[in-house]
Amino acid sequence: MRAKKALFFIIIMMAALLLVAAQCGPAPTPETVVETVVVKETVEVEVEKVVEVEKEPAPKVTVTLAYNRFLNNSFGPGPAPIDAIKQAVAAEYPNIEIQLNLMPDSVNQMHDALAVWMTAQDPTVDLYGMDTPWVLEFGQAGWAVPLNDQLPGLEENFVTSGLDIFSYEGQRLGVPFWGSSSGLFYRTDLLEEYGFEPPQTYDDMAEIIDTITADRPELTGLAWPGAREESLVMVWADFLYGFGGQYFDESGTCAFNSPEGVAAVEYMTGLIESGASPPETTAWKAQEAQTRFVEGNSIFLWHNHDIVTWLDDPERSAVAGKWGFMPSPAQPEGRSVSLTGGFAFAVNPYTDNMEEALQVLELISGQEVQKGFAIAWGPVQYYRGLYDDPEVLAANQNADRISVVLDSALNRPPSPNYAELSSIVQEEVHAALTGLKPVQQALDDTCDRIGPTN
Amino acid sequence: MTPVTVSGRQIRASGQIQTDMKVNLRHESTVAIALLVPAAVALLIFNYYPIFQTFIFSLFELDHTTDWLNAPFVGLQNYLAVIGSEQFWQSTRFTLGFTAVSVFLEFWVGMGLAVATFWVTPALRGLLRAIIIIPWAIPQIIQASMWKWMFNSDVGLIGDMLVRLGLVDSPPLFLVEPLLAMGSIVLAYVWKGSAITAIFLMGGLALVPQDLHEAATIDGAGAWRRFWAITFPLMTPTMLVTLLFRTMDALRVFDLVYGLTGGGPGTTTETLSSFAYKFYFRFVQFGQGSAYALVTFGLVVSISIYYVSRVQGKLRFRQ
Amino acid sequence: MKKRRVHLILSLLLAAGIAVFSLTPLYWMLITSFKRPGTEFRLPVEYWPSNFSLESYRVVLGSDFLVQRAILNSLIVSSTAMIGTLLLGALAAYAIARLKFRYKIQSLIAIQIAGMIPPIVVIAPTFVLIRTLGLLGTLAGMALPNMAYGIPLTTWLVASYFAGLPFELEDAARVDGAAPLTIFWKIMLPLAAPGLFSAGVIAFLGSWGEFMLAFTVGLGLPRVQTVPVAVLSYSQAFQLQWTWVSAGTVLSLLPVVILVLIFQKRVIRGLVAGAVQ
Repeated sequence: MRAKKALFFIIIMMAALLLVAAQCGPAPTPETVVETVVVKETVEVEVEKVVEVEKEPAPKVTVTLAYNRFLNNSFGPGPAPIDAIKQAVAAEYPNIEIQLNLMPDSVNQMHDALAVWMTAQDPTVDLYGMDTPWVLEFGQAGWAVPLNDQLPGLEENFVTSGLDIFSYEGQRLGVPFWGSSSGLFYRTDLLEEYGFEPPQTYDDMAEIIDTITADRPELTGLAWPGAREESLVMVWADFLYGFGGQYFDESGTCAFNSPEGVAAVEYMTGLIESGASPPETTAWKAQEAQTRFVEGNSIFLWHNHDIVTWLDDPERSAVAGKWGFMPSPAQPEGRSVSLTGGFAFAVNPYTDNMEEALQVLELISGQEVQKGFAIAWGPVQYYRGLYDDPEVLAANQNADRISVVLDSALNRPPSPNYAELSSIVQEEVHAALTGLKPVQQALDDTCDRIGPTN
Repeated sequence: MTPVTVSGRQIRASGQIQTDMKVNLRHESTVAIALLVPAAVALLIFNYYPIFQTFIFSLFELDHTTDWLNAPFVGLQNYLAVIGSEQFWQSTRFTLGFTAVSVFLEFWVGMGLAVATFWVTPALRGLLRAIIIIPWAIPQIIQASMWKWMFNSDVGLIGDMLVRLGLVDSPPLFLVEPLLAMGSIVLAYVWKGSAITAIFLMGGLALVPQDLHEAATIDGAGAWRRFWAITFPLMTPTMLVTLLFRTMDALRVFDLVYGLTGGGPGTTTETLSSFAYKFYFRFVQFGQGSAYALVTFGLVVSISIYYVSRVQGKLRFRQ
Repeated sequence: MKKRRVHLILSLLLAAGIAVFSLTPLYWMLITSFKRPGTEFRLPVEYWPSNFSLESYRVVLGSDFLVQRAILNSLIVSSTAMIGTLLLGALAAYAIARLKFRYKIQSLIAIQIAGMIPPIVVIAPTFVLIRTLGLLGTLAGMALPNMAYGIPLTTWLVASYFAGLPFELEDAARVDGAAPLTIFWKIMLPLAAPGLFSAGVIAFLGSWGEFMLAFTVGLGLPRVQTVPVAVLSYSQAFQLQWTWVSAGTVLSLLPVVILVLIFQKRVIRGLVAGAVQ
């Protein structure tokens, strides 16, 4: 009798506890605001669809964007992109509030956070920034809403190659808002002083570094990000092709460990061993490498083009007026490549606010916001005709200096398991750089580990 | 039977007592089970069922999904992939090596700390205990951030101290060079681990009877001798339990690796737990991640069983 | 007399040495947190802030970081988990320590084995389970599993404590005809209060420091970050601003350090009892 009572009592307590605990999570309640909304006729088809479906005025909705802190930053004369977006949205859809879910700087961590959210089928984030190498993975996993039907205006307004970067099986998955190309920055004053032309091959570059640093040992030869981060994959790819290697051969087999591939990574380790690049290189992310150059302490820098926007600003850069940007060098047997990067906003398929998210995305694909990005961040945006706009050009005096690398664009190795591939390359190349493994072995291991995944 | 009076109340005749007690026994059994059920349910849901489910996951190919009901069944293929992976063996080697070194170090440091609390003047004892216990209270992942800053190769405390002491010319790259990175993780782990070990061992020290020490002192044995001849052997049960718990803790280290080195440089400080986690939440391969997780579990279990079979201790509970 | 003096001096030296070992990392974080942001990279390394500044604390308490929210979240999760663990654990502990039934040793072993499971083995299904319950990204989703995780240690500690209590009161009550449950509630539980207290503090600290679950189940969302997750996110988001990270760390450690200092006697007694028995 008593035992049954006790059991009953215990079960009630547990249920109560569970109920209490379940309430503990925050439960946002959207407020319904009744107001008439004026919708412009010139807006695309799908907005009209939305208006037809919703007979009553739209309630207040928060659309959450997931991206890192750069969305809050402007390197140019205009407002930060987040403000440009908010402005555009406030004008068109006063019921929509934009919120930024701040993500870490590291794209590895951004990817992991998104991977967890997608696996969790979490609706918190509505739009997220998608990096170029993730497209295959996210496309195959169904983690981005296909946009061909939702945003038909994209083809017309954007350069096709830009849209192609973010496509999967014919479906557009994201609206690009920034693209990057890598290249070699160099000190025009130093090269001139010592009588050198910009290096065409890596041997040339080695010679320049040796000569100048013999005279000025405090300078770094080549600053580049060697940390075990995504940027390492880009640097490595640059050297790989520069030395005549390639990702995969004709039969689709991994070719990272070809003699050319080995030569490339040996050159990278050689840079550190010889002191042309300091030992900290293997802990440097793009930010640290860039700082070394921008503060005037390095002859060469491997980096995305994006710093051209402010490299001539004396308040930010010690090398204003003393730098040049050129395609990466290449050995005679190789070819110069420029690694593409970039981000697009994609739609979370698990969002609760699909219509509003698409509305905002549509605005992001509009000229106003794209221009906002161009003025705040500089090139490259893929919106057609953007760089004919005088305001954009005024804010981006150095935009034309990027064109030198655009022809040699190269994507990172394509793979539906890019996260894994990238991780493997990062780990093995980093192991070679830190002297943990001989270069040949590291690259052989890379190909072994990748084998099954591709 | 004469009725017995206990604390002013009359007890019934013992025959009646016998029957009452039998009823109470069965009753007691039911009550005991009832009391255990809530805890059992909780453990079933959050501890035992997940192991089973992880095993199920490991038998399927779960690429960017957790829906095993609709996924291809691959049997033991994931396990074969695990065993065939060089990464796995490297992580295992590091995990085992890390465990051996860390437990060894923290045991002796902890022993030193525990003995110190008994040796100092009683006035300082409480204070010392409080100081020793503080590292235990700090979450491991927060310690990872702390040590990351301490090991900073430009302005970190450790590097700077080494330079000031003249041992090195410039601060070593603690998190960049493989051996140093491994050493850094060990140091960070031992810092907290020795606090925990010290607490365990304090208990064991307290069990050693004072009179044995006194007798030995009278016989002329010095402190060092007394420690090794008397204290140490008597602490054996405690030490074994301590070693068991600390070993299992070290085998499953995750927070420190995740927060301090991320497994780097290369993959030198990747442990089994951190490596499996990557498969789950970076590559989103739930099948393979589960295989890794279970192999880890198997390792921990076998080592524990080996240990436990050597530990002799009976729990003094009411029978 | 002299021997005592020497002993005192040596004790002080030893204590100082141990303090250096145990407290230097904390001191370092404290110092860094008081430096003006940016100055922490100055060489030579400063062991005392030359530009004393509370700027970092302002930032970390400000709207970008809201470390106080993380502390509050941790308090909620840990308290709830502690209460649940104590409830479930105390019941089980009493049954094991004091009641007669078959499979007693097996029960204890089964409970203890649950405590030896590495978190990585259970994280994935727990994640899926919490998702199914719709509790991902909520504090409840973190509190519930933590209740279960604390049970093995709590049961062990409280059972040990029960085992150490005298039988007389129980026997007397039993002979008087009281049911075991009444005995538990009215007599044993109050008697076990100190042991429960210790177990409670340990359970609280255990779930406070728990990371993998909080990180995974919390989905990294700032509004449900507990202290460990929050501090990690600071050190990842703004790696170059160590003063901010330090300030956040110091603030988030204050509650636990104070808790431990106040209850250190109990905690040690509890842990020691657990280890010894």
